[in-house]
Amino acid sequence: MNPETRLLEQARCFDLTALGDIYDCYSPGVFRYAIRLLGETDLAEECVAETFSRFLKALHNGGGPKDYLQAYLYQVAHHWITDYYRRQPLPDLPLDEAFANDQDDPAKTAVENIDRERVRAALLLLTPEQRQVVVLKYLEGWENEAVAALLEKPLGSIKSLQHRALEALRRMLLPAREENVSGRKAYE
Amino acid sequence: MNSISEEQDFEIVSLVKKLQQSPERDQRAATVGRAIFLAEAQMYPLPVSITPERRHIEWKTFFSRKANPKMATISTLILIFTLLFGGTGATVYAAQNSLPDQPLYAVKLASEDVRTGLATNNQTRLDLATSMADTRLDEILQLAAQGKNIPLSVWDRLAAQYDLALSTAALSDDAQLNRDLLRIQARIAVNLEKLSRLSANNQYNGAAMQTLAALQNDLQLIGAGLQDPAAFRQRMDAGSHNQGWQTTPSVPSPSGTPQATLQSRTPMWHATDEHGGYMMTPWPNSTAHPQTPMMTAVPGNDIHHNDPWMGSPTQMPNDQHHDDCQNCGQWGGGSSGGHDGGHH
Repeated sequence: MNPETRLLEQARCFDLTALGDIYDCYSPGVFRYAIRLLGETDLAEECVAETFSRFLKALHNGGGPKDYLQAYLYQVAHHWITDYYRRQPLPDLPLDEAFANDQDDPAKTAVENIDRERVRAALLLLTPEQRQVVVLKYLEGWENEAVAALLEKPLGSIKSLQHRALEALRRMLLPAREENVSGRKAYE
Repeated sequence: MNSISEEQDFEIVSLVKKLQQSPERDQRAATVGRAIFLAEAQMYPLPVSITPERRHIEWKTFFSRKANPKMATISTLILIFTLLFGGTGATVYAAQNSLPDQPLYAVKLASEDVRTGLATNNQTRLDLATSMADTRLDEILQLAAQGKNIPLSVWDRLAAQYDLALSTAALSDDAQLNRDLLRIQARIAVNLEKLSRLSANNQYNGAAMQTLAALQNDLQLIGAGLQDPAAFRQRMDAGSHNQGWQTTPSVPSPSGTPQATLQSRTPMWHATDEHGGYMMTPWPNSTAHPQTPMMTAVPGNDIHHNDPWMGSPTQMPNDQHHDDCQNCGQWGGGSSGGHDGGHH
Protein backbone atom coordinates (compact mmCIF):
# COMPACT_ATOMS: atom_id res chain seq x y z
CA MET A 1 0.00 0.00 0.00
CA ASN A 2 1.53 3.32 -1.07
CA PRO A 3 1.72 6.22 1.41
CA GLU A 4 -1.07 8.18 -0.28
CA THR A 5 -3.43 5.23 -0.11
CA ARG A 6 -2.54 4.67 3.54
CA LEU A 7 -3.18 8.33 4.28
CA LEU A 8 -6.55 8.05 2.58
CA GLU A 9 -7.47 4.97 4.59
CA GLN A 10 -6.70 6.83 7.80
CA ALA A 11 -8.51 9.93 6.57
CA ARG A 12 -11.65 7.86 6.02
CA CYS A 13 -11.63 7.21 9.77
CA PHE A 14 -11.23 10.98 10.28
CA ASP A 15 -7.81 10.49 11.79
CA LEU A 16 -6.77 14.09 12.53
CA THR A 17 -3.07 13.40 12.12
CA ALA A 18 -3.64 11.94 8.67
CA LEU A 19 -5.94 14.79 7.73
CA GLY A 20 -3.34 17.30 8.95
CA ASP A 21 -0.67 15.57 6.86
CA ILE A 22 -2.91 15.67 3.81
CA TYR A 23 -3.50 19.40 4.28
CA ASP A 24 0.22 20.11 4.75
CA CYS A 25 1.14 18.02 1.73
CA TYR A 26 -1.43 19.16 -0.80
CA SER A 27 -2.79 22.57 0.20
CA PRO A 28 0.27 24.51 -1.11
CA GLY A 29 -0.20 22.99 -4.56
CA VAL A 30 -3.93 23.69 -4.55
CA PHE A 31 -3.25 27.27 -3.46
CA ARG A 32 -0.70 27.72 -6.25
CA TYR A 33 -3.14 26.29 -8.78
CA ALA A 34 -5.88 28.58 -7.53
CA ILE A 35 -3.92 31.78 -7.43
CA ARG A 36 -2.64 31.29 -10.96
CA LEU A 37 -6.19 31.20 -12.19
CA LEU A 38 -7.79 33.57 -9.72
CA GLY A 39 -4.99 36.07 -9.31
CA GLU A 40 -6.07 37.00 -5.78
CA THR A 41 -4.62 35.53 -2.62
CA ASP A 42 -7.87 35.88 -0.66
CA LEU A 43 -9.85 34.14 -3.39
CA ALA A 44 -7.19 31.44 -3.64
CA GLU A 45 -7.36 30.82 0.13
CA GLU A 46 -11.14 30.62 -0.13
CA CYS A 47 -10.75 28.09 -2.93
CA VAL A 48 -8.35 26.00 -0.81
CA ALA A 49 -10.68 26.08 2.19
CA GLU A 50 -13.68 25.07 0.10
CA THR A 51 -11.73 22.31 -1.66
CA PHE A 52 -10.71 20.66 1.59
CA SER A 53 -14.17 21.15 3.07
CA ARG A 54 -15.71 19.30 0.10
CA PHE A 55 -13.10 16.59 0.57
CA LEU A 56 -14.26 16.08 4.16
CA LYS A 57 -17.91 15.93 3.11
CA ALA A 58 -17.08 13.36 0.47
CA LEU A 59 -15.24 11.21 3.02
CA HIS A 60 -18.14 11.47 5.44
CA ASN A 61 -20.58 10.33 2.74
CA GLY A 62 -18.46 7.32 1.91
CA GLY A 63 -17.16 8.87 -1.32
CA GLY A 64 -13.96 10.70 -2.07
CA PRO A 65 -10.97 9.44 -3.99
CA LYS A 66 -9.95 5.81 -3.96
CA ASP A 67 -6.46 6.84 -5.07
CA TYR A 68 -4.82 9.84 -6.79
CA LEU A 69 -5.67 12.17 -3.91
CA GLN A 70 -3.71 15.05 -5.42
CA ALA A 71 -5.56 14.77 -8.72
CA TYR A 72 -8.86 14.64 -6.84
CA LEU A 73 -8.08 17.83 -4.92
CA TYR A 74 -6.99 19.66 -8.07
CA GLN A 75 -10.21 18.58 -9.76
CA VAL A 76 -12.33 19.89 -6.87
CA ALA A 77 -10.42 23.18 -6.92
CA HIS A 78 -10.87 23.41 -10.67
CA HIS A 79 -14.62 22.95 -10.34
CA TRP A 80 -14.77 25.59 -7.64
CA ILE A 81 -12.92 28.07 -9.84
CA THR A 82 -15.11 27.25 -12.84
CA ASP A 83 -18.24 27.72 -10.71
CA TYR A 84 -16.85 30.94 -9.31
CA TYR A 85 -16.45 32.46 -12.74
CA ARG A 86 -19.78 31.06 -13.84
CA ARG A 87 -21.51 32.86 -10.98
CA GLN A 88 -20.11 36.23 -11.88
CA PRO A 89 -18.69 37.95 -14.96
CA LEU A 90 -14.98 38.00 -15.48
CA PRO A 91 -13.59 40.48 -12.98
CA ASP A 92 -11.55 43.47 -13.82
CA LEU A 93 -8.55 41.84 -12.26
CA PRO A 94 -6.56 44.10 -9.98
CA LEU A 95 -2.81 44.13 -10.01
CA ASP A 96 -2.14 42.09 -6.95
CA GLU A 97 0.56 43.66 -4.85
CA ALA A 98 1.77 40.24 -3.95
CA PHE A 99 3.11 39.86 -7.46
CA ALA A 100 5.17 43.03 -7.19
CA ASN A 101 8.84 42.92 -6.32
CA ASP A 102 10.39 45.96 -4.71
CA GLN A 103 13.73 45.39 -6.39
CA ASP A 104 12.28 45.30 -9.92
CA ASP A 105 11.98 48.24 -12.22
CA PRO A 106 8.44 49.53 -11.68
CA ALA A 107 7.86 49.97 -15.43
CA LYS A 108 9.03 46.45 -16.17
CA THR A 109 6.94 45.09 -13.31
CA ALA A 110 3.92 46.89 -14.67
CA VAL A 111 4.37 45.40 -18.14
CA GLU A 112 4.86 41.95 -16.65
CA ASN A 113 1.72 42.35 -14.62
CA ILE A 114 -0.26 43.46 -17.63
CA ASP A 115 0.94 40.43 -19.60
CA ARG A 116 0.02 38.14 -16.72
CA GLU A 117 -3.45 39.59 -16.42
CA ARG A 118 -4.02 39.21 -20.15
CA VAL A 119 -2.90 35.61 -20.07
CA ARG A 120 -5.10 34.93 -17.06
CA ALA A 121 -8.09 36.59 -18.70
CA ALA A 122 -7.46 34.59 -21.87
CA LEU A 123 -7.24 31.38 -19.86
CA LEU A 124 -10.59 32.12 -18.28
CA LEU A 125 -12.12 32.38 -21.74
CA LEU A 126 -11.08 28.83 -22.59
CA THR A 127 -13.39 25.91 -21.95
CA PRO A 128 -12.89 24.44 -18.47
CA GLU A 129 -11.19 21.33 -19.85
CA GLN A 130 -8.89 23.30 -22.15
CA ARG A 131 -7.97 25.57 -19.25
CA GLN A 132 -7.29 22.62 -17.00
CA VAL A 133 -5.04 20.97 -19.56
CA VAL A 134 -3.02 24.15 -20.12
CA VAL A 135 -2.66 24.95 -16.43
CA LEU A 136 -1.72 21.44 -15.37
CA LYS A 137 0.68 20.87 -18.24
CA TYR A 138 2.43 24.23 -18.54
CA LEU A 139 2.05 25.70 -15.07
CA GLU A 140 2.01 22.65 -12.82
CA GLY A 141 4.35 20.64 -15.03
CA TRP A 142 2.18 17.52 -15.24
CA GLU A 143 2.78 14.91 -17.92
CA ASN A 144 0.06 14.29 -20.48
CA GLU A 145 -0.59 10.86 -18.98
CA ALA A 146 -1.28 12.34 -15.55
CA VAL A 147 -3.63 14.93 -17.02
CA ALA A 148 -5.39 12.17 -18.96
CA ALA A 149 -5.80 10.18 -15.74
CA LEU A 150 -7.21 13.20 -13.92
CA LEU A 151 -9.70 14.09 -16.65
CA GLU A 152 -10.41 10.39 -17.30
CA LYS A 153 -9.84 10.89 -21.02
CA PRO A 154 -7.59 9.12 -23.50
CA LEU A 155 -4.20 10.60 -24.21
CA GLY A 156 -5.26 11.58 -27.73
CA SER A 157 -8.11 13.69 -26.35
CA ILE A 158 -5.71 15.49 -24.04
CA LYS A 159 -3.38 16.33 -26.91
CA SER A 160 -6.33 17.52 -28.94
CA LEU A 161 -7.57 19.70 -26.05
CA GLN A 162 -4.08 21.09 -25.65
CA HIS A 163 -3.82 21.92 -29.36
CA ARG A 164 -7.18 23.67 -29.45
CA ALA A 165 -6.37 25.57 -26.25
CA LEU A 166 -3.09 26.89 -27.64
CA GLU A 167 -4.84 27.81 -30.87
CA ALA A 168 -7.47 29.77 -28.95
CA LEU A 169 -4.83 31.48 -26.80
CA ARG A 170 -2.87 32.43 -29.88
CA ARG A 171 -5.93 34.06 -31.40
CA MET A 172 -6.58 35.97 -28.18
CA LEU A 173 -3.07 36.93 -27.14
CA LEU A 174 -0.77 37.28 -30.13
CA PRO A 175 -2.62 40.00 -32.02
CA ALA A 176 -2.72 42.06 -28.87
CA ARG A 177 0.93 41.38 -28.26
CA GLU A 178 1.80 42.32 -31.81
CA GLU A 179 -0.22 45.51 -31.42
CA ASN A 180 1.62 46.23 -28.21
CA VAL A 181 4.97 45.64 -29.84
CA SER A 182 4.15 47.88 -32.74
CA GLY A 183 2.77 50.46 -30.34
CA ARG A 184 5.98 50.40 -28.31
CA LYS A 185 8.08 50.75 -31.43
CA ALA A 186 6.06 53.75 -32.53
CA TYR A 187 6.44 55.30 -29.08
CA GLU A 188 10.18 54.73 -29.12
CA MET B 1 3.71 26.57 -41.82
CA ASN B 2 4.54 23.98 -39.21
CA SER B 3 7.55 25.90 -38.04
CA ILE B 4 5.47 29.07 -37.74
CA SER B 5 2.86 27.16 -35.77
CA GLU B 6 5.49 25.63 -33.48
CA GLU B 7 7.08 29.03 -33.05
CA GLN B 8 3.76 30.56 -32.15
CA ASP B 9 3.02 27.66 -29.78
CA PHE B 10 6.35 28.30 -28.10
CA GLU B 11 5.50 31.96 -27.79
CA ILE B 12 2.10 31.21 -26.34
CA VAL B 13 3.53 28.70 -23.90
CA SER B 14 6.12 31.28 -22.86
CA LEU B 15 3.34 33.75 -22.23
CA VAL B 16 1.35 31.23 -20.23
CA LYS B 17 4.38 30.35 -18.18
CA LYS B 18 4.51 33.91 -16.98
CA LEU B 19 1.75 32.82 -14.61
CA GLN B 20 4.14 30.34 -13.05
CA GLN B 21 5.46 33.11 -10.97
CA SER B 22 3.03 33.06 -8.12
CA PRO B 23 3.24 34.81 -4.80
CA GLU B 24 4.27 32.82 -1.75
CA ARG B 25 1.41 31.72 0.40
CA ASP B 26 0.95 33.68 3.57
CA GLN B 27 1.98 31.23 6.31
CA ARG B 28 -0.44 32.75 8.78
CA ALA B 29 -3.31 32.20 6.35
CA ALA B 30 -2.11 28.65 5.74
CA THR B 31 -2.03 27.92 9.48
CA VAL B 32 -5.49 29.37 9.97
CA GLY B 33 -6.78 27.35 6.99
CA ARG B 34 -5.32 24.16 8.46
CA ALA B 35 -6.88 24.81 11.86
CA ILE B 36 -10.29 25.46 10.29
CA PHE B 37 -9.97 22.27 8.23
CA LEU B 38 -9.17 20.11 11.28
CA ALA B 39 -11.90 21.77 13.36
CA GLU B 40 -14.39 20.97 10.62
CA ALA B 41 -13.16 17.36 10.53
CA GLN B 42 -13.81 17.04 14.25
CA MET B 43 -17.41 18.12 13.75
CA TYR B 44 -18.16 15.05 11.65
CA PRO B 45 -19.22 12.01 13.70
CA LEU B 46 -17.14 8.94 13.10
CA PRO B 47 -18.68 6.68 10.47
CA VAL B 48 -20.03 3.67 12.36
CA SER B 49 -22.69 2.34 10.03
CA ILE B 50 -22.81 1.08 6.49
CA THR B 51 -22.31 3.89 4.03
CA PRO B 52 -25.32 5.15 2.09
CA GLU B 53 -23.76 3.73 -1.05
CA ARG B 54 -23.91 0.22 0.42
CA ARG B 55 -27.47 0.70 1.50
CA HIS B 56 -28.36 1.82 -2.00
CA ILE B 57 -26.81 -1.32 -3.44
CA GLU B 58 -28.84 -3.42 -1.01
CA TRP B 59 -32.00 -1.82 -2.30
CA LYS B 60 -30.91 -2.69 -5.80
CA THR B 61 -30.34 -6.32 -4.87
CA PHE B 62 -33.66 -6.41 -3.00
CA PHE B 63 -35.45 -5.77 -6.25
CA SER B 64 -33.27 -8.13 -8.25
CA ARG B 65 -34.13 -11.80 -8.47
CA LYS B 66 -30.76 -12.73 -7.01
CA ALA B 67 -31.81 -11.52 -3.56
CA ASN B 68 -34.46 -14.09 -2.80
CA PRO B 69 -35.40 -16.40 -5.63
CA LYS B 70 -37.93 -18.19 -3.45
CA MET B 71 -39.83 -14.98 -2.72
CA ALA B 72 -39.55 -13.98 -6.36
CA THR B 73 -41.14 -17.27 -7.41
CA ILE B 74 -43.94 -16.88 -4.90
CA SER B 75 -44.53 -13.30 -5.97
CA THR B 76 -44.65 -14.41 -9.58
CA LEU B 77 -47.18 -17.11 -8.76
CA ILE B 78 -49.36 -14.67 -6.87
CA LEU B 79 -49.12 -12.23 -9.74
CA ILE B 80 -50.07 -14.93 -12.24
CA PHE B 81 -53.06 -15.94 -10.13
CA THR B 82 -54.08 -12.35 -9.81
CA LEU B 83 -53.84 -11.72 -13.54
CA LEU B 84 -55.50 -14.98 -14.56
CA PHE B 85 -58.26 -15.08 -12.05
CA GLY B 86 -59.17 -11.47 -11.62
CA GLY B 87 -57.49 -10.86 -8.35
CA THR B 88 -60.09 -12.59 -6.21
CA GLY B 89 -59.43 -15.55 -4.01
CA ALA B 90 -62.66 -17.19 -5.13
CA THR B 91 -61.03 -19.28 -7.83
CA VAL B 92 -58.28 -20.47 -5.57
CA TYR B 93 -60.88 -21.28 -2.92
CA ALA B 94 -63.00 -23.17 -5.46
CA ALA B 95 -59.95 -25.13 -6.57
CA GLN B 96 -59.43 -26.60 -3.13
CA ASN B 97 -62.00 -29.33 -3.76
CA SER B 98 -60.82 -30.16 -7.25
CA LEU B 99 -59.45 -33.56 -8.20
CA PRO B 100 -56.40 -34.33 -10.35
CA ASP B 101 -58.53 -34.81 -13.45
CA GLN B 102 -60.13 -31.37 -13.14
CA PRO B 103 -58.90 -28.08 -14.65
CA LEU B 104 -58.49 -26.23 -11.38
CA TYR B 105 -56.30 -28.91 -9.85
CA ALA B 106 -53.15 -27.09 -10.98
CA VAL B 107 -54.40 -24.02 -9.11
CA LYS B 108 -54.92 -26.14 -6.03
CA LEU B 109 -51.38 -27.52 -6.16
CA ALA B 110 -49.90 -24.10 -6.82
CA SER B 111 -51.82 -22.58 -3.92
CA GLU B 112 -50.48 -25.38 -1.70
CA ASP B 113 -46.95 -24.61 -2.84
CA VAL B 114 -47.50 -20.96 -2.06
CA ARG B 115 -48.78 -21.82 1.41
CA THR B 116 -45.78 -24.06 2.06
CA GLY B 117 -43.41 -21.44 0.71
CA LEU B 118 -44.91 -18.74 2.89
CA ALA B 119 -44.75 -20.86 6.05
CA THR B 120 -42.51 -18.94 8.41
CA ASN B 121 -41.63 -21.72 10.83
CA ASN B 122 -40.81 -25.39 10.61
CA GLN B 123 -43.77 -26.53 12.65
CA THR B 124 -46.23 -24.88 10.29
CA ARG B 125 -44.42 -26.33 7.30
CA LEU B 126 -44.51 -29.80 8.83
CA ASP B 127 -48.24 -29.51 9.59
CA LEU B 128 -48.91 -28.37 6.05
CA ALA B 129 -46.87 -31.22 4.59
CA THR B 130 -48.68 -33.92 6.55
CA SER B 131 -52.06 -32.31 5.92
CA MET B 132 -51.36 -32.14 2.20
CA ALA B 133 -50.27 -35.76 2.18
CA ASP B 134 -53.67 -36.60 3.61
CA THR B 135 -55.28 -34.52 0.90
CA ARG B 136 -53.35 -36.44 -1.78
CA LEU B 137 -54.51 -39.73 -0.35
CA ASP B 138 -58.11 -38.52 -0.24
CA GLU B 139 -57.83 -37.51 -3.88
CA ILE B 140 -56.42 -40.92 -4.76
CA LEU B 141 -59.23 -42.68 -2.95
CA GLN B 142 -61.88 -40.49 -4.58
CA LEU B 143 -60.50 -41.15 -8.06
CA ALA B 144 -60.28 -44.85 -7.29
CA ALA B 145 -63.88 -44.84 -6.11
CA GLN B 146 -64.87 -43.38 -9.48
CA GLY B 147 -62.76 -45.97 -11.30
CA LYS B 148 -60.59 -43.28 -12.87
CA ASN B 149 -56.89 -43.36 -13.60
CA ILE B 150 -54.67 -41.84 -10.97
CA PRO B 151 -51.81 -39.79 -12.41
CA LEU B 152 -48.38 -40.90 -11.27
CA SER B 153 -47.61 -37.34 -10.21
CA VAL B 154 -50.24 -37.62 -7.46
CA TRP B 155 -48.58 -40.71 -6.04
CA ASP B 156 -45.18 -39.03 -6.26
CA ARG B 157 -46.50 -35.97 -4.53
CA LEU B 158 -47.94 -38.03 -1.71
CA ALA B 159 -44.53 -39.58 -1.01
CA ALA B 160 -42.82 -36.21 -1.44
CA GLN B 161 -45.09 -34.60 1.19
CA TYR B 162 -43.91 -37.10 3.76
CA ASP B 163 -40.32 -36.58 2.66
CA LEU B 164 -40.81 -32.88 3.30
CA ALA B 165 -42.38 -33.57 6.68
CA LEU B 166 -39.47 -35.78 7.73
CA SER B 167 -36.86 -33.31 6.45
CA THR B 168 -38.58 -30.51 8.33
CA ALA B 169 -38.83 -32.56 11.51
CA ALA B 170 -35.08 -33.19 11.35
CA LEU B 171 -34.51 -29.47 11.89
CA SER B 172 -36.05 -29.52 15.39
CA ASP B 173 -34.39 -30.34 18.68
CA ASP B 174 -34.54 -33.85 20.09
CA ALA B 175 -37.71 -33.41 22.14
CA GLN B 176 -39.62 -31.75 19.31
CA LEU B 177 -38.25 -34.22 16.80
CA ASN B 178 -39.54 -37.07 18.94
CA ARG B 179 -43.03 -35.54 19.08
CA ASP B 180 -43.04 -34.81 15.34
CA LEU B 181 -41.89 -38.27 14.38
CA LEU B 182 -44.62 -39.83 16.52
CA ARG B 183 -47.22 -37.65 14.85
CA ILE B 184 -45.97 -38.46 11.37
CA GLN B 185 -45.79 -42.12 12.28
CA ALA B 186 -49.43 -42.10 13.34
CA ARG B 187 -50.54 -40.40 10.14
CA ILE B 188 -48.57 -42.74 7.95
CA ALA B 189 -49.93 -45.76 9.78
CA VAL B 190 -53.50 -44.61 9.11
CA ASN B 191 -52.74 -43.96 5.45
CA LEU B 192 -50.97 -47.28 5.05
CA GLU B 193 -54.15 -49.03 6.06
CA LYS B 194 -56.13 -47.13 3.40
CA LEU B 195 -53.51 -47.79 0.76
CA SER B 196 -53.36 -51.48 1.49
CA ARG B 197 -57.09 -51.67 0.73
CA LEU B 198 -56.48 -49.90 -2.57
CA SER B 199 -53.65 -52.24 -3.48
CA ALA B 200 -56.18 -55.06 -3.69
CA ASN B 201 -57.56 -53.37 -6.80
CA ASN B 202 -55.60 -54.56 -9.84
CA GLN B 203 -55.98 -51.23 -11.62
CA TYR B 204 -53.98 -49.42 -8.99
CA ASN B 205 -51.88 -52.24 -7.71
CA GLY B 206 -48.52 -51.17 -9.11
CA ALA B 207 -48.54 -47.51 -8.10
CA ALA B 208 -50.19 -48.24 -4.78
CA MET B 209 -47.51 -50.75 -3.92
CA GLN B 210 -44.76 -48.32 -4.79
CA THR B 211 -46.21 -45.74 -2.46
CA LEU B 212 -46.93 -48.35 0.15
CA ALA B 213 -43.29 -49.38 0.12
CA ALA B 214 -42.17 -45.75 0.31
CA LEU B 215 -44.34 -45.18 3.35
CA GLN B 216 -43.05 -48.39 4.90
CA ASN B 217 -39.58 -47.08 4.33
CA ASP B 218 -40.54 -43.82 6.03
CA LEU B 219 -41.91 -45.76 8.99
CA GLN B 220 -38.64 -47.63 9.32
CA LEU B 221 -36.80 -44.37 9.20
CA ILE B 222 -39.07 -42.89 11.85
CA GLY B 223 -38.61 -45.93 14.08
CA ALA B 224 -34.85 -45.59 13.84
CA GLY B 225 -35.07 -41.82 14.30
CA LEU B 226 -36.99 -42.25 17.54
CA GLN B 227 -34.10 -44.33 18.84
CA ASP B 228 -31.24 -42.30 17.43
CA PRO B 229 -32.17 -38.70 16.52
CA ALA B 230 -28.60 -37.78 15.57
CA ALA B 231 -28.35 -40.56 13.01
CA PHE B 232 -31.78 -39.59 11.70
CA ARG B 233 -30.65 -36.02 11.17
CA GLN B 234 -27.49 -37.19 9.51
CA ARG B 235 -29.49 -39.35 7.19
CA MET B 236 -31.89 -36.52 6.37
CA ASP B 237 -29.01 -34.09 5.86
CA ALA B 238 -27.45 -36.50 3.41
CA GLY B 239 -30.84 -36.72 1.72
CA SER B 240 -30.21 -40.41 1.22
CA HIS B 241 -33.46 -41.65 2.69
CA ASN B 242 -35.28 -40.86 -0.51
CA GLN B 243 -32.51 -41.29 -3.03
CA GLY B 244 -31.18 -44.25 -4.83
CA TRP B 245 -34.44 -45.71 -5.93
CA GLN B 246 -34.16 -47.75 -9.02
CA THR B 247 -36.15 -46.43 -11.90
CA THR B 248 -35.00 -48.97 -14.42
CA PRO B 249 -35.01 -52.70 -14.17
CA SER B 250 -32.00 -53.88 -12.33
CA VAL B 251 -29.30 -55.07 -14.70
CA PRO B 252 -26.82 -57.45 -13.19
CA SER B 253 -23.32 -56.16 -13.43
CA PRO B 254 -20.51 -58.41 -14.61
CA SER B 255 -20.05 -59.38 -11.00
CA GLY B 256 -23.68 -60.27 -10.76
CA THR B 257 -24.65 -57.28 -8.63
CA PRO B 258 -27.62 -55.23 -9.83
CA GLN B 259 -26.60 -51.70 -10.73
CA ALA B 260 -28.70 -49.09 -9.02
CA THR B 261 -29.29 -45.84 -10.84
CA LEU B 262 -30.05 -42.55 -9.17
CA GLN B 263 -32.76 -41.21 -11.40
CA SER B 264 -35.72 -40.39 -9.27
CA ARG B 265 -36.41 -38.78 -5.95
CA THR B 266 -39.43 -40.92 -5.31
CA PRO B 267 -39.26 -44.66 -4.77
CA MET B 268 -39.89 -46.57 -7.93
CA TRP B 269 -40.63 -50.19 -8.30
CA HIS B 270 -39.93 -52.45 -11.19
CA ALA B 271 -40.71 -55.98 -12.19
CA THR B 272 -37.92 -58.35 -11.34
CA ASP B 273 -38.97 -61.77 -12.38
CA GLU B 274 -41.65 -63.93 -13.87
CA HIS B 275 -43.70 -63.65 -10.67
CA GLY B 276 -44.33 -60.04 -11.48
CA GLY B 277 -42.66 -58.99 -8.27
CA TYR B 278 -41.29 -55.55 -7.55
CA MET B 279 -37.99 -54.59 -6.10
CA MET B 280 -36.51 -51.35 -4.84
CA THR B 281 -33.14 -50.38 -3.48
CA PRO B 282 -33.34 -47.33 -1.29
CA TRP B 283 -29.69 -46.68 -0.36
CA PRO B 284 -27.45 -48.43 -2.83
CA ASN B 285 -24.93 -45.60 -2.96
CA SER B 286 -25.12 -44.36 0.57
CA THR B 287 -21.79 -44.21 2.32
CA ALA B 288 -23.45 -45.61 5.42
CA HIS B 289 -24.59 -48.58 3.38
CA PRO B 290 -22.03 -48.81 0.66
CA GLN B 291 -22.74 -52.21 -0.79
CA THR B 292 -25.93 -53.46 0.67
CA PRO B 293 -29.35 -52.67 -0.75
CA MET B 294 -31.48 -51.81 2.20
CA MET B 295 -34.71 -53.39 1.31
CA THR B 296 -36.18 -55.59 -1.34
CA ALA B 297 -39.87 -55.95 -1.66
CA VAL B 298 -42.28 -57.82 -3.82
CA PRO B 299 -45.94 -56.94 -3.81
CA GLY B 300 -47.56 -59.43 -1.70
CA ASN B 301 -44.16 -60.75 -0.66
CA ASP B 302 -41.68 -60.11 2.11
CA ILE B 303 -39.73 -56.92 2.38
CA HIS B 304 -36.26 -57.59 3.67
CA HIS B 305 -34.23 -55.01 5.48
CA ASN B 306 -30.58 -55.76 5.66
CA ASP B 307 -29.51 -52.36 6.92
CA PRO B 308 -28.41 -52.75 10.52
CA TRP B 309 -29.40 -49.14 11.24
CA MET B 310 -32.91 -49.85 10.07
CA GLY B 311 -33.56 -52.59 12.60
CA SER B 312 -35.61 -55.70 12.04
CA PRO B 313 -37.29 -56.50 8.75
CA THR B 314 -40.86 -55.62 8.15
CA GLN B 315 -43.18 -58.33 7.05
CA MET B 316 -45.46 -57.82 4.13
CA PRO B 317 -48.43 -60.07 3.55
CA ASN B 318 -48.15 -63.19 1.46
CA ASP B 319 -44.83 -64.86 1.53
CA GLN B 320 -44.15 -66.14 -1.96
CA HIS B 321 -40.83 -65.04 -3.41
CA HIS B 322 -38.34 -67.73 -4.13
CA ASP B 323 -36.60 -66.30 -7.15
CA ASP B 324 -36.11 -62.95 -5.46
CA CYS B 325 -34.16 -64.73 -2.83
CA GLN B 326 -31.58 -65.40 -5.47
CA ASN B 327 -31.39 -61.68 -6.04
CA CYS B 328 -31.07 -61.19 -2.33
CA GLY B 329 -28.29 -63.69 -2.22
CA GLN B 330 -26.47 -61.99 -5.08
CA TRP B 331 -26.93 -58.54 -3.70
CA GLY B 332 -25.81 -59.53 -0.29
CA GLY B 333 -22.81 -61.34 -1.64
CA GLY B 334 -20.35 -58.82 -0.32
CA SER B 335 -22.10 -58.28 2.96
CA SER B 336 -24.09 -61.33 3.57
CA GLY B 337 -23.56 -61.01 7.27
CA GLY B 338 -26.07 -58.22 7.40
CA HIS B 339 -28.62 -59.94 5.27
CA ASP B 340 -31.57 -61.50 6.91
CA GLY B 341 -31.81 -64.96 5.55
CA GLY B 342 -34.56 -66.03 7.86
CA HIS B 343 -37.17 -66.08 5.13
CA HIS B 344 -35.49 -69.04 3.48
